[in-house]
Amino acid sequence: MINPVRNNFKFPVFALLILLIISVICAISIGSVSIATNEIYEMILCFSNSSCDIQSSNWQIIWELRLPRALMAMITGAGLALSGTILQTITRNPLADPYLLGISSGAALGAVVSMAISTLILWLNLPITMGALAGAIFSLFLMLTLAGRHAFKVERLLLSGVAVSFMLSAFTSLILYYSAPDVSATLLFWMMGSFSHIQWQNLALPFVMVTLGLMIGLIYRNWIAAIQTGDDSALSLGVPVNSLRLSLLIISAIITGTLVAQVGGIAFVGLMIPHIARMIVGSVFHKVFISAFLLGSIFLIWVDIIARTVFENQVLPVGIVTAAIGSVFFFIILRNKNA
Amino acid sequence: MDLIQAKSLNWSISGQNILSNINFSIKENEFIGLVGPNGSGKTSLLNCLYGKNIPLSGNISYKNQPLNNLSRRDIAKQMAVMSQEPLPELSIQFDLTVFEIIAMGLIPHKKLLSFGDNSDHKIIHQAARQVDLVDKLNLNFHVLSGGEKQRALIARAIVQKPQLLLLDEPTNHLDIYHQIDILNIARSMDITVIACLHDLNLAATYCDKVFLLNNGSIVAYGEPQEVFTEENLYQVFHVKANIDQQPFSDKLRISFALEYSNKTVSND
Repeated sequence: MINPVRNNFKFPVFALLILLIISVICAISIGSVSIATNEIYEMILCFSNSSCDIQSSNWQIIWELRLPRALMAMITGAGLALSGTILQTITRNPLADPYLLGISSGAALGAVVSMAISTLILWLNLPITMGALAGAIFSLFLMLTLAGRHAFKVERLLLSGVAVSFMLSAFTSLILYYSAPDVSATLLFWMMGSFSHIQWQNLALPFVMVTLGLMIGLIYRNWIAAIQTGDDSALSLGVPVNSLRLSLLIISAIITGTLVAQVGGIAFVGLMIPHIARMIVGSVFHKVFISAFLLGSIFLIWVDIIARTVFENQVLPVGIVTAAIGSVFFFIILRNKNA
Repeated sequence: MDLIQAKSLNWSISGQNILSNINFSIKENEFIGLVGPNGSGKTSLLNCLYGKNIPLSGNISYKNQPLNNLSRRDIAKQMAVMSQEPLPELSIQFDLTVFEIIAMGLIPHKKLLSFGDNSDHKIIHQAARQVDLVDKLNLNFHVLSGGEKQRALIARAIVQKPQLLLLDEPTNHLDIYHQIDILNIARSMDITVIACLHDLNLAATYCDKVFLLNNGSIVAYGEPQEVFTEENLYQVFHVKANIDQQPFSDKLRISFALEYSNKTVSND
């Protein structure tokens, strides 16, 4: 049987939107310096009539540190969840995500290579974003080449994605192994994901890419939904299956590459969030897509709150927290399915 | 008026000829049966008709227009397809309801940016009523029986408003009641139907015309009485057949002798 929320999609979307707003307020409020919600409210008011005391320490904490960080967590969560939802749907495999298909590994390798080169050759300051994007696209190219003329067969695509993922991860590890200890420590921390360094200027590109991804997913929602029922079935409904799948793979690679360049590797979001969304709203693509967008945002905001508050004076890499929560989540799902 | 035509159609895969020199023309509102042994090319021919298989040579025209001049969407507006296994690739993880599956029939008619409205609900309910699935619209597709799944897919085809319905062994794995049920629904749609069928008695009962295929070629084409002769059936299936009249209608009844000639049967 289906759950009752499924037929009334407006309710979960409204609830998730409220939860998202609450989460952003909590992300601004919670931290080593606690900021009361009435202070946040006053700041919003002062912002609207341009009468803020921008020299106050709380303003500095909110405006310079916590707000861009919370927004980046929101955008990253949304982007990874969108990417995961698209990949799971077009491959009809609930385990597909940017990691399984090697896209994240490619982006990480690209970013690590550009960082390592910039460290070795000081005058050559390679932009990490370009490196990560190039890496993500390169991994996609490798995956399609490896799959050969069967590239549009889902099973072949998944298998070659897994192979590419391991291969590129091995290269990344090799670079880490040969890097100077201080460089490899920086790279390692970055690879495990962090929002610590995020400033306003880091937000623009991920915001644009994730928004574009959301719009494209919604525009092509019916076609993507049809792929869920099988390639032949989608073809008979007028969907250009192969070209759509390739375009969506490229879009997922671009979104993942952009995000990995800014915040490093954050596993499990793209894998876990679409599962939770399907549990709440069923499997119709556009419903899962929108819910995953909101759930991913909320999830990473709270993961970041946990990462910077669980130990005093220490910030945990976000990827460790998502991996810990993700593994417990799948353990619970497996237990419930076996029960 | 001719709805769909094939001229000198050839199709091969990995260098092996699957369809050779296929020629036919099918009129509007005809119920056509494709029959023949396993591996004779029935499914391959059906797949050529909706553009899944691209012919090596020759051409297919739909309403006097070459099929390859039509976009995928234009083809889907005109033709609905039902395969032998009901959505075999739909993973159990993606638990779509019967309503959601039927609604997909609207996809070819929807603009990319348009959202569903009340008229869509009406169309879906009407189709579900036609196949007697109204009370199962909210159930997961996976919990339906084989016959119900096929009916849901017929409802999806009804919603698609095609002028040509392509059925690939739609009665596979179904009991006799559901076999008759599915073909009755297809017949009641009053459109052209092309169906691959293994059951020659069903083909003789439902089809206005029959193509008898063997080794990728059409060996006989015409009304069931012309095609289902003892000679033709022996030539193609290597089985002795006796043909008389059904007790409940004027349609043919085909019975087979238990002995068969020794031949290598190719796999589908």
